Amino acid sequence: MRALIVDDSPVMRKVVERALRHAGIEISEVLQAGNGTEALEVLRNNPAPDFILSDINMPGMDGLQFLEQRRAENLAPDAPVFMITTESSAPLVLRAIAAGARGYICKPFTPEQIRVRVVPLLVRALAS
Amino acid sequence: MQEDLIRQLDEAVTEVFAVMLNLACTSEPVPVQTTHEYHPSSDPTTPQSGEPDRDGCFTASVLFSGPLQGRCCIQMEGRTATELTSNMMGMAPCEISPDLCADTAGELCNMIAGCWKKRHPKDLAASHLSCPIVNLGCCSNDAATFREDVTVLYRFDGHHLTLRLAFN
Repeated sequence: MRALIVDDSPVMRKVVERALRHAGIEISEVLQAGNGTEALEVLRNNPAPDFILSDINMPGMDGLQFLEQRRAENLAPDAPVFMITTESSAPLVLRAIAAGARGYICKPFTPEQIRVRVVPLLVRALAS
Repeated sequence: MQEDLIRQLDEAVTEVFAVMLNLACTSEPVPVQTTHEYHPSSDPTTPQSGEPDRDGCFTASVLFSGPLQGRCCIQMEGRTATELTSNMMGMAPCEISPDLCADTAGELCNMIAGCWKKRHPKDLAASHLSCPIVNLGCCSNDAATFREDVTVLYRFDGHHLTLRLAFN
């Protein structure tokens, strides 16, 4: 599977990638972006990833703006997006879901939490 | 009140360290006035520039805005930042750059602030967190005064770091 990980922190991008692998998700390629603007460029210039994990709070274009612009441009429309963020307030979660996020994972997270949240939605997305 | 604050901070640090680093740590409160003495050779207020030094000090802050106004600040020595970064990324310490250490300090500060915030009632938990601001050197002793202000020293595996939480 191909994943796009969007986070301004290189350390967190690596942590997320490791957690995905520890969760048993077979990743053949990891695309990376440091904010929403970079993520849109990645989507415009590469074959669509199978799923996207994005932080919300990033300098420049944040994760919610990225979701909205991705939808407006119809980029990788079939790839489920999971938000991974420290922000856990209900209004923010609802905004993310309204903007197209399929799942919400709070930092700190374990590989098991990644597996439980991500795998069922990936299976469903692949089946459809 | 301050005991509650320290307990909530301890819980947040314990959660982040256990989940992200598989580490246990112990804590001890320290007087706010002594915070800047953590790295006496550093300017306490001015961010330093230039190539980071592994033996230097990393300070990261996250600002609260909205119902909560204040900041969470983490401060650690270079060798501690290297150890934590190595642990988080699964890389050998010799592969860890100062930039990655700074990034780790910022992310840990961000997660601890988020974990602490979510332990509050809904209205306060809706406060916004800034992106982490990382400085090379020590800068925790800012001039602003806050209604609540605690600094706690955390020890783990021969390392230590300080966390300051200050808000109105």
